[in-house]
Amino acid sequence: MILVLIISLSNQWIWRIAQLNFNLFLFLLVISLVLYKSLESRKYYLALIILVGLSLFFQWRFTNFESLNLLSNDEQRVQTLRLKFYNPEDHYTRVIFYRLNLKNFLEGNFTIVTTRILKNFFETIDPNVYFFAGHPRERVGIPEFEKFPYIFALPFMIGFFNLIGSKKILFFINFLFCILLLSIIGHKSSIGAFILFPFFVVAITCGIKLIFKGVHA
Amino acid sequence: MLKIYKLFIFLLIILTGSYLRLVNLETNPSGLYVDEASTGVNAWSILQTGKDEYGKVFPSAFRFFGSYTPPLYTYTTSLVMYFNGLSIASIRLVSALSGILMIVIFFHLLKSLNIFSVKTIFLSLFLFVITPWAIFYSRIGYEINLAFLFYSTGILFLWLSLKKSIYLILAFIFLALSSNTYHSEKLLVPITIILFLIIFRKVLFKKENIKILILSFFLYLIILIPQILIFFTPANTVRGVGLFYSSAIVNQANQSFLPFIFSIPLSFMSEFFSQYLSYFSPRNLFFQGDSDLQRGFPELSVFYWWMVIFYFVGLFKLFNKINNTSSKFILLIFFLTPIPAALTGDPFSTQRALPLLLPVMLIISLGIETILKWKFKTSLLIILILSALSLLYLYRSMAVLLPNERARVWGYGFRQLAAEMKKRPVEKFLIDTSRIKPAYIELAFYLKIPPEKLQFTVDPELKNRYYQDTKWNDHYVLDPFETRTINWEEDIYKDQILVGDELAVSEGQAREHFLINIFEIKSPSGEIIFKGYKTDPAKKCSTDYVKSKC
Repeated sequence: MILVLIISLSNQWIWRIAQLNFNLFLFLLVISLVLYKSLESRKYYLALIILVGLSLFFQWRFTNFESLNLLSNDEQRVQTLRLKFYNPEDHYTRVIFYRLNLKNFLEGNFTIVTTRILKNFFETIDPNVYFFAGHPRERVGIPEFEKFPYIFALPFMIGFFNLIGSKKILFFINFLFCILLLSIIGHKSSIGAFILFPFFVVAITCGIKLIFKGVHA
Repeated sequence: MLKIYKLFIFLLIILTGSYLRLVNLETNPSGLYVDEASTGVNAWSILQTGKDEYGKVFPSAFRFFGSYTPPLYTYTTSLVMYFNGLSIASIRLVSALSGILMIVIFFHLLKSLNIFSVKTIFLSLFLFVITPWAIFYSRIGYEINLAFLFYSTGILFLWLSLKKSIYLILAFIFLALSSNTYHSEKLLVPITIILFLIIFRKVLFKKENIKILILSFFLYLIILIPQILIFFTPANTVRGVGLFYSSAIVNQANQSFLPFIFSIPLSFMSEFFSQYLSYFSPRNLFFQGDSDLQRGFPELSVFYWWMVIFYFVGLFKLFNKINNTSSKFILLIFFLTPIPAALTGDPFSTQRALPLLLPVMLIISLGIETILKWKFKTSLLIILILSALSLLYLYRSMAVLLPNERARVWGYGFRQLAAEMKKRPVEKFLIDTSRIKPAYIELAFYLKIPPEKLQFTVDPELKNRYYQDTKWNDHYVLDPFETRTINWEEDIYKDQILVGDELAVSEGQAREHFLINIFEIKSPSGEIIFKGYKTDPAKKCSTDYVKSKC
């Protein structure tokens, strides 16, 4: 428990959150502790589900939601230009595209929406965003900062894979729910995808414990 | 019957792979990238004269624009040109054939690892065949894919050597060949060999294997002689030093409150690990791809997004069975292959990290194996549907967007510029090189300038200090063109055609200096690539008389 608290407080992320909203800071500390306890005992399952549900709500409130299908002027220009590239006179395969209306499928709403959801999803699961402030591929229009010190990257991965391996289903399901929400609403927020904070803290704690166990053995 | 059936599927996969790698090789990517042009012109020069564009006889590394590229790709391209002549397809053919052979190597690796079922082997092979990373680098005319083929073949034989040590000889030969093909492998191969020998020392350092080990190492050194000879010259160091992020490290260290002795290693670690980790990041592997527009298909990453599921499952499986020899072997190449790329400042360089394709594909295959075992029919159906959808997006990216949207970055327009030059045989052209990548080599290719003429234009002393003098000068004077930046005080008084991109000559400058726009070359998407302006010295002198110039 002490290790969970130490890791929770020894990073830039939580102090940024504290600066913005002290209640959220306390809430995330509590949820980190409950998440950690839930790995040991089923008693905490209900509390965890309620807390994660609440954190999902807070994340939604603190995020500038971006439309999944509205196009900016420049995106509309590119779309119009791209549709011209499917001219059936250019190549015989384009005739098939024309007949099956595939160009509208490829350049239309389906592609736009899936691309944006995928963009949000992959940005959410990018480890560089959390340990290296997005470096070397910083995101445009998003305030990047190093959420955890980079020396925590290895314990995080060890801990995370171990948690999946030891079939901590509730941890995994909650984590997936958070990712799912972030994939839809994005994470355009000055404090990032903070609903993942407890999962990171717990995975890092487990990783550090495993490393020490390994060294000791 | 079963054998014939398997053979039929294998051939079908090879045919699909060959089609994707060879179709429209001459015209897609549209244009000819400068690195391809320099490979082509030098290969042609070697074939015709035995010397490169600087007049150096069979160099150990090609100087190109100061990059000192290992020579194997250029020499093999010379052979292709012997049969096929100087063309874009000739330059790209070695890469495409390497890509096709790579399918066979990957098949054998999957088979020999003994951890995959037959169904997984064929499914994984098919996915490898349609993977954007594998297709893209099979269609470009420089050394990356050939080096990848040699490296992968070396890796296959390294694995086989754990059962039959005689394969070590072949492994070392192919790995040495890859070092003679591309810069990344020059660093990657020694660390692969050293770590392989350390990790599998119990198998390899048996008494009966020592002779084979010594012989393999001896052959490795012999093949590396061309590289060893220039090892201590600036030619070998300039590329690595130039790409390393030393200034970023110093900047970070300067901001730290710690003394330099601590802050420099810490900054290096931070920079290196951020780069290194980015090569394993799902965002880069499955969504975003390379940040350099020339190094990838538009709107596609290096793998399809849905493969991320198999990547995670495969990784999980691999770590769970970390004590298996095959897991250790896959993890070894997985962790090693991005190291050379992570030492350079470009974020997620798909070109330098191409060998990573092999272990990631093996990990994805492991994920497929696990999921197929769990629910075979449903998983297979889903994979096939997703593959079909991916092929549709591949068509969009490769056949529709790449030749249209990326034409400019691929050097589109030089063919048309060369045609303009041919139309006006008596005119002199001045190509403004402020923002245009080395134009002389593109024009030398399209105008088929004889190699002797190209060799004659450079300083004849250069071939004597070929590996020492790494500075490259873009000023070339060849008939009918000259390449340099426009000198506005001189060039408007000479009778010539000024050529540049849309920013080279403004409307105001054209009016002020009586320049007449005589041609415009546009990309397929309508962007202006080149504008040609005819000077009018008589008119200029009549209004703005400068004695020394008129």
